[in-house]
Amino acid sequence: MALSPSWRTKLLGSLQGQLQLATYLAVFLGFTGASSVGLWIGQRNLIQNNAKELRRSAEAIQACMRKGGADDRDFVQQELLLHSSMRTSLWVENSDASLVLPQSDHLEISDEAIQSSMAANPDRVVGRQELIRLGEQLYLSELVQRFSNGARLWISQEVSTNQRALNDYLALMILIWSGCLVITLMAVSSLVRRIVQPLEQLNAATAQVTAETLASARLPLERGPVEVMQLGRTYNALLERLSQSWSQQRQFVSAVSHELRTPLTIVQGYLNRTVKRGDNLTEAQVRGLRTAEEESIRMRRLMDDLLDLSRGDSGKLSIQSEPVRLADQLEQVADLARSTLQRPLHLELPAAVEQRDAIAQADPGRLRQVLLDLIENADKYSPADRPIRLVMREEPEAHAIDVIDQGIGIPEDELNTVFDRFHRASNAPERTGSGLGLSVVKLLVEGMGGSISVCSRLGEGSRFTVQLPR
Amino acid sequence: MISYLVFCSLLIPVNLWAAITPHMHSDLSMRILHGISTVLLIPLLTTLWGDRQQLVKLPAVLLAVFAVVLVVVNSWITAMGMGVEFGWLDHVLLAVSELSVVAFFLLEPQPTAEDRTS
Repeated sequence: MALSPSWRTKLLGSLQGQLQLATYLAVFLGFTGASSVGLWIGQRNLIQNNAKELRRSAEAIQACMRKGGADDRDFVQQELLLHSSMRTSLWVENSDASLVLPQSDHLEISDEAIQSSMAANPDRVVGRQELIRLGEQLYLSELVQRFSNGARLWISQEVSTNQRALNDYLALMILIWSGCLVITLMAVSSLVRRIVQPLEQLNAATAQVTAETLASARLPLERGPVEVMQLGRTYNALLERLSQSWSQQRQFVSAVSHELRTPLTIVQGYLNRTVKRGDNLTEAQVRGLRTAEEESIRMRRLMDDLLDLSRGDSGKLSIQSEPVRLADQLEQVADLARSTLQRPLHLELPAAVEQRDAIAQADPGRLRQVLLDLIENADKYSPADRPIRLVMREEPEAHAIDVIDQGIGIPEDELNTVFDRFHRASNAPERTGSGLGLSVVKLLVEGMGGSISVCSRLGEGSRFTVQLPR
Repeated sequence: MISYLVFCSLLIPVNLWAAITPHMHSDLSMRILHGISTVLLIPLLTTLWGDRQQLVKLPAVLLAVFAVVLVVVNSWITAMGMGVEFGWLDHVLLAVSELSVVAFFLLEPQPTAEDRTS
């Protein structure tokens, strides 16, 4: 089995996480692609448009200079001035390295920009474009033309303003994207929660279904996607069928137990009478009849257990509740048990008289049945000659009766299931019981308003504690 | 971990933007970007080392070498500042590395109970 970290299980292992991840990826990829491509195209267009503009100016100057003469310094200066602006500068570098600038009182030419532009192209490669940063300003410069007399036409344009506009565009895009991402994720989370809610209800309802609640457990789905609503209806129909099936099974068990109980009682009676009154039976025949009688008694008790469980399931189990003096009941149980046990049974009653006279609310017949079943259980799983203790004691909230043995014990991981129907401990010898006795005990104790618990150690023994209300 | 992965994923477009517009960020913001991108590669390297027994050798080694080279180069850039030639390419590689971090942690094969006990 894979051991995923909790974050990964949360993200990839749940429907909600997967949908959120898919949404995040869709928004993320969409925006990353759109913003990157938009930015790249914007950046490229910005540079290309500026370069085109510069070239157009340069071509115009070249044409004019060819017409008017490149050697006329004033004419050249005039032409350069005509095409220069606050952001665009054109100048000529003569062969002797002197510069012809479009000087004007109204136009400020940055000497630093000019020098940096020429320094960035020391080999004077025609057509080479350079981006030059001077403080906060960014310039795009190019050596446009080399004339026949050795003069070179340079051009430079300040592009910081356009860059700032692009920067603002990028910041705005980030803001919009972040907002879209957050809103989309919140919307999807809310939507997914609505979709998943019926499934969680289904899960919770399934976890609460037991044999007792099978008839009433239904999934109350009022709203949800069509698929989930359909699943809910199918689930409720399944519960209905299970409930019917369970009900029929209980009726069957109840009927069979009831029908078998009467003939078994008759068989047991005849066997008993034959053994007692038969005067011509051999010893082997008597032994065989005794075995048959014991087996019929065992079978009748099994039928009684099944009948009790069946009645408990259908709510028809009859349990009285009346004041019972526990010490009397325990003495009767001890006497009855000693008559059949092949081992010592120690009855321990409280020393204090007022505790010995404790009165509990219980059904005396059922209480004796419970204690005899627990003693029989202790006898079944204890080595020979190990004593069983029947202890009465007082607890702050209830009266407690312990049945303590020194038997094989119960494995720790099975203590929670020891009262389940048909459950037998994994270390129990074969053919030692049906697995119904303790579940009947629990049913009867709880029917009297009490509770039962067990603590046990393997190889050392077990202690079953019955707590009854005062 | 989810916050870490979201942060890594956010650095992918940021590095792409930085690669596309090399003149739009200042020296300080560039150093911060390189520094953060470098630091975010450390958990990838530690996990690669920690889970080396469970990972497929060749892709893991390639990813580790790629991450180590980027950590070394970008630590140097963070210390030295702007002016690196082919800086845009470094930003593209950083975007790829952040993508690989996210992909690795989401798709990394998980050790089984048998692997843990053996």
